[in-house]
Amino acid sequence: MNTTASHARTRLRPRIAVPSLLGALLLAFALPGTAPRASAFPSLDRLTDDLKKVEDTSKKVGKVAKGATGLSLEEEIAIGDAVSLEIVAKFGGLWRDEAATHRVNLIGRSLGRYALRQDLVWRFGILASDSVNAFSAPGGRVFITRGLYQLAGSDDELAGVLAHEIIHIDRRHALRIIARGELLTGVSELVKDNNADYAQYEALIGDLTSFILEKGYDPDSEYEADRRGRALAATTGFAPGGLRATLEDLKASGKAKTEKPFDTHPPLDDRLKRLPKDPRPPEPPAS
Amino acid sequence: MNTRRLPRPTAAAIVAALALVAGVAAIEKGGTVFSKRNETSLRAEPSALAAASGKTGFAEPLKVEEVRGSWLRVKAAKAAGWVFTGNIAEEKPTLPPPAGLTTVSASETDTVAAARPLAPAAEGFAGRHDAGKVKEDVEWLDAESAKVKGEAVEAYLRDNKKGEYRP
Repeated sequence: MNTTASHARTRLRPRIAVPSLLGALLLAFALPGTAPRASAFPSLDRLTDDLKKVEDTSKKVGKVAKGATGLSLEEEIAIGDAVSLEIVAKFGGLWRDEAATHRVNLIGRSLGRYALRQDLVWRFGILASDSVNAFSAPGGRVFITRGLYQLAGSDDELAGVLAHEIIHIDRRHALRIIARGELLTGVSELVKDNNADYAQYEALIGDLTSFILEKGYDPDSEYEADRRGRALAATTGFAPGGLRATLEDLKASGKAKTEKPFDTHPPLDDRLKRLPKDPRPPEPPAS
Repeated sequence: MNTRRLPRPTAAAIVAALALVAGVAAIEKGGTVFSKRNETSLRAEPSALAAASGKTGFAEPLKVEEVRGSWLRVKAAKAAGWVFTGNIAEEKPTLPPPAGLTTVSASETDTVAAARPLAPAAEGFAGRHDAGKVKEDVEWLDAESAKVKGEAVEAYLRDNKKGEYRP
């Protein structure tokens, strides 16, 4: 089957007013000792510095992941499921091509087998968009656009792209952003008790989705995903130059100048400069 | 300029640290790595097809005694043998996999890989946002993903000589 679901290309908006949303936002923005700000998150520079401090401290006390995010798997999935809905809505639905979806899941699950986190079920979907981008949601869902799927022709190139997104989840990049906010209590309460006030959850999902879809991760997280993703692809037996080849093809296509591909990622040239100059993977056999 | 050569252990430590920063496995003889699944088989030889020599549990420290390509000869508390580098972690993992997720039987992973409903909180989120069609898409994705069974992943790796089946 090869169909494209029809959805309005927009972020999800509440059907009804959320009664306590204003109160939750006021709570989030007006904690003692903090100046009012336009976002629940600190600036990227400060965020990066703070995350390094948290990570360093956590390593010292032996609580690397849990200590850095403070979220249980159940909470991560509750967040990731809603973020997945937002991502699919933003890109006009999924490209429901069974063969292509099977292929990305086979390659992706092979990579996931050797990822650090084995507590997740990895799932891979293709967004019905001809733009070039990829996203990951906490909890194990990875999305690439149809435009990127078609650009990355070989299994090696697809593996390079998928491994990059897997690393974002594997290293809890999104959850570490949440860890810097003040909304964790609301999520915990909601996951434990479905009757709990959901306003804080709504605010958190909105902020996190905005971060993932519009701002993107900080450059250090992106370069880490490139670096560790390359290593994961190589460990799994794919050519280590898959991601590099995809980025080079994108640059050569001229789309980089006109269509803002990977616009939530650092500039192509900066990523290529940091990646080792691996040889291009073999071309896929002509079908 | 200070041209004094660093003593060997210090130089080795720097190389290991640089390798870590570069995202390359800093795995060497004498180091410690960790198992990351509830159960990981150790092999009598550095091959996925070799006989099992023992098992390790989740987050168990493994002392590296020899490195041969992508395989490590390790010693655990109650077992010893060879393990593929993809099956271990350089840092101690924190959250154990759901019960039944092991390297011993790929089919066991299907227990946890089966399509699960969206989390109740996300179900409520979809309802409040009138996101019925989007929810159907995500559920379709989960169902399609669940069709890729553990055996299929295992066969893909084996047939294409990938992962621990690399020669």
